[in-house]
Amino acid sequence: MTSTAQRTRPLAWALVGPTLALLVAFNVFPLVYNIASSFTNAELIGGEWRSVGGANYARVFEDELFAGALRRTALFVLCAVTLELLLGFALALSLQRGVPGKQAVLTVLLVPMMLSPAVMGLYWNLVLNGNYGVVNQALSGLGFDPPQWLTDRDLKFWSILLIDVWMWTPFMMLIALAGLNAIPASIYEAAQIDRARPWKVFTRITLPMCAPVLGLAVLFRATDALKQFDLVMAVTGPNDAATQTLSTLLYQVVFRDGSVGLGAAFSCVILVLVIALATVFTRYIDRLQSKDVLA
Amino acid sequence: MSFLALEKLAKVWPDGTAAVRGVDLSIAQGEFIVLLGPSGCGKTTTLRMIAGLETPTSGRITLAGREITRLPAAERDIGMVFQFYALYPHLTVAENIAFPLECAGVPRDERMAAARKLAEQLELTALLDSRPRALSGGDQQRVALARAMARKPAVWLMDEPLGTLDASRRADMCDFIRAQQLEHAVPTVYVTHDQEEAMRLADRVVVMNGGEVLQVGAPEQVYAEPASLFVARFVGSPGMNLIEGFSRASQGVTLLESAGVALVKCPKLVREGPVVIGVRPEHVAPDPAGALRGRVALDAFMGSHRYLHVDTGCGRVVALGAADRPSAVGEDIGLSIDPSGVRLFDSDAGSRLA
Amino acid sequence: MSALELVGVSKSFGARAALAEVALSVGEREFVVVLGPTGAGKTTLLRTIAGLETPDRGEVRLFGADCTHSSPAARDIALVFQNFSLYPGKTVRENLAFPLLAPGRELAAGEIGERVQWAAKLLRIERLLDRPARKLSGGEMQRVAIGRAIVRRPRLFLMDEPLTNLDAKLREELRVELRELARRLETPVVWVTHDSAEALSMADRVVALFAGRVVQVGTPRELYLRPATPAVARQLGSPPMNLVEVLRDGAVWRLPNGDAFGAAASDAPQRALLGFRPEHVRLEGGASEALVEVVEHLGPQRVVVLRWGGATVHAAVASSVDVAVHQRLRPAVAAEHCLIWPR
Repeated sequence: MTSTAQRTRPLAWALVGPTLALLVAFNVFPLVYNIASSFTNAELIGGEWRSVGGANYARVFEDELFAGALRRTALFVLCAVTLELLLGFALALSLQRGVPGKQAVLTVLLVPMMLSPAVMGLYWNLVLNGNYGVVNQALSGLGFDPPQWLTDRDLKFWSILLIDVWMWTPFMMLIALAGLNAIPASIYEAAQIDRARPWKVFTRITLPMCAPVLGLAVLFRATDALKQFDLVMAVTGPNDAATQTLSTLLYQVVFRDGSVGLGAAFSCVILVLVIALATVFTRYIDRLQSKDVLA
Repeated sequence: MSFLALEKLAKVWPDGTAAVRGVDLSIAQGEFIVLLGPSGCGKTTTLRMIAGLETPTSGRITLAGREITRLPAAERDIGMVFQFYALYPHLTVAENIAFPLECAGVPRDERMAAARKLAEQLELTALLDSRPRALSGGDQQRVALARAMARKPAVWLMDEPLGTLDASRRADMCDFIRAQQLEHAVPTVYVTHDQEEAMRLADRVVVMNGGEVLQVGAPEQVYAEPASLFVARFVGSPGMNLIEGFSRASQGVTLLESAGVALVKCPKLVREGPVVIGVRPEHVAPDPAGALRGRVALDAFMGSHRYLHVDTGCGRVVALGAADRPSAVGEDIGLSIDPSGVRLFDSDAGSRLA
Repeated sequence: MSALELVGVSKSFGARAALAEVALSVGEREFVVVLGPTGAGKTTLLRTIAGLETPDRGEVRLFGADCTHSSPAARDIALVFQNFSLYPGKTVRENLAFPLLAPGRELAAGEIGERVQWAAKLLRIERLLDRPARKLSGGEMQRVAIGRAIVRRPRLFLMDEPLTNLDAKLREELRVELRELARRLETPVVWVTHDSAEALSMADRVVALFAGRVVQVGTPRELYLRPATPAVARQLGSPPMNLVEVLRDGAVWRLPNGDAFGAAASDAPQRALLGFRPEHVRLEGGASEALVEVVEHLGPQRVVVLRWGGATVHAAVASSVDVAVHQRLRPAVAAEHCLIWPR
């Protein structure tokens, strides 16, 4: 007796095979290659490779540049995700009850998310430009001393953060809105009958019932923000120590300094960090699915 | 004295359709009222207006002498069981039951004790720490009931609470709800489309159709003395046989005929002319000598009895037969009608004549 | 030859056995009702017959041919679901014609029109033919869904609780209509339900399915009078069969609180579960007293809920019998109406 699964096995391989081949060629091979080169002194411009053992890794952990970038990135992830969550959830709450022109508001809010970060970077470069930017012209018009948004050492990190928040708050709002809409109206009606006051409804029903979806959005955004690269590239460039994130530092090491071996070790460390976060992420999704919180 | 009163209550949706057209109803302390009608008859809208989940377009609602027509739900003293339970999925059974008390500011220990006590009463103790999702439909329904009872509200409202249960569980839950209501003597308004539930539960049944109340009365009264053709058809399973016929005075009695057959002599006198003759299946019996003859189209066994669906010259007639007397489909049989069970209706207006 | 035969069909999902050694045969014009509670495996059984699931073990035979592994399309079976599954934007006519347009069913346009008319007439939905499906009521939708099944003139109908989502009144009407329709089409039907009334009034034979196993097969009357297990007894009849725990004390059955229930045979077990139908409970002549808790008026009959010896017992009496709540009675059940399950 053959089961359906057994009979269709060749077909299954035929369908999955090409994808698997591509995956090996473009993902598995580069990964192995990267790990291998992280133990060498490989340079961008040719030269002979020589094994240096764990020297590259030792440098990574001793390097103040790396520690700085790590701190900066962590701060960036923390601030960006928190702000985006709070703002996005607040926006979603205010949009939840049929606001007049809700569709138009939604469309406008979604525009920043749909444009490429590189374009956004250039756009904000113009907006925040110290001399002729719209913001500073407005500020000086009002009699304020215009700050140097993109060149002030203490300010430019926060400027980039601001742009990220501006770009990704709508995403949080969208997810939060989906979470809010998934709460059946009858639950709110039951709460009304049970004489729950608005604050009670929010803390005991809205928030806990939205929490799983919000958690998902936070993890998603956190993994994304951890890789922050394009915005920094477009606004201040890869070599600015005040805004250097892990990814831009990596770029600097490999493409400016040409130290492929060191860069490879670098990227392996970043990879471990990302994997750690992604594991939390997938575990969380698994848990949600087993609890049938997500459909 | 009425405890809960609806006066000329009406609801028109924004698109102009009238869901409820002037409902008057007065409910006494401790009374179990069932709003019965088909989908879209306005029964649920009426209930939701009592709950404060819909605002009436016009009319008044008073509860315990206080007008509540436009009060928000939270300021009325009601408990409600929803059709799909509407339990809080992220809270445990105990927290669900205690939620109305939590909203009333009862301290945690006290409200949990109250929830435990209620759970004991409703046989939910073993489930107190589970989440609603893990419970069967019947258990979820009992949790919903416990939650509605927790604050000891003045009125219970129930919106088709048994609709999603298996037939065999439904009968048990029906008994259970009735027993709880009798014990606590809380006036209850219950909505259903199932006439059997209505008959089992109600002190008084309110039959609704097209947003209007057609008849209010005790179950046996609505069943035995339907006020209109609609009620006659809707109440009872199967509904009343309704035969287009003609009434004629003959030697001091009324002779009822249909399709040229003299069906039954009726001692009551009504005007001569076309009538609709209504008779329940239990007043139609298979009888070899019966004047009404027809062919069996379906013999539906019901356990303790059977219903014979017979195609006669005056249309489909359903007769009650004995459980141990099956009939073959296609068989020719005679039927006789018990005159005491005959109800007459105006064939144009559908209203009751006698 | 039987239209359908299942031989030792088993199916598991992970560790959970949905069907265990199910055997079933359906005659060429037979109306078979599979009765069981939610989660008994009824839907899995239908899906296995339809070819949407492959059994782990066992055989599915249709009209004598083994088709355990043939595709759903090759089986020429129609399946009607609990939720109506129509194309909402299409008219009733288009919905009805759709199954006839499938590739491999080359039918002339005229033939399609004829079949649609024929089905619409049988189901009395002719006046709805040009209405979009989303504008139909629940009862109308289910009629159209059944229409979509019959236009194909399949060899076998599978119905998965088709009346569950309808109002009680419609359910009752369609029960009668669909039973007559099945007879007229002369096509076998496997009808799955948890509803006692559907099983009793529609079936030629009832198959009682509990926890994936066939517990009993027989005519509705056989199952009603001689249920094989207490579970079958509870599933059939409204109100369902009374089940009371009793202990034998010499020649007398004693109720949970020690009150006498009635005479017991000398060879009866010491502990038993007694089953008896509500219509077999008389309200007088009994050996001990019971309290009337509730009286329900169910049209032709009255259901009396009794508290009797620590057990709750339902009695069904004619509506002419006078009983009042809180009244004390001496109920009795004749020994020949009692089923005994040893404990």
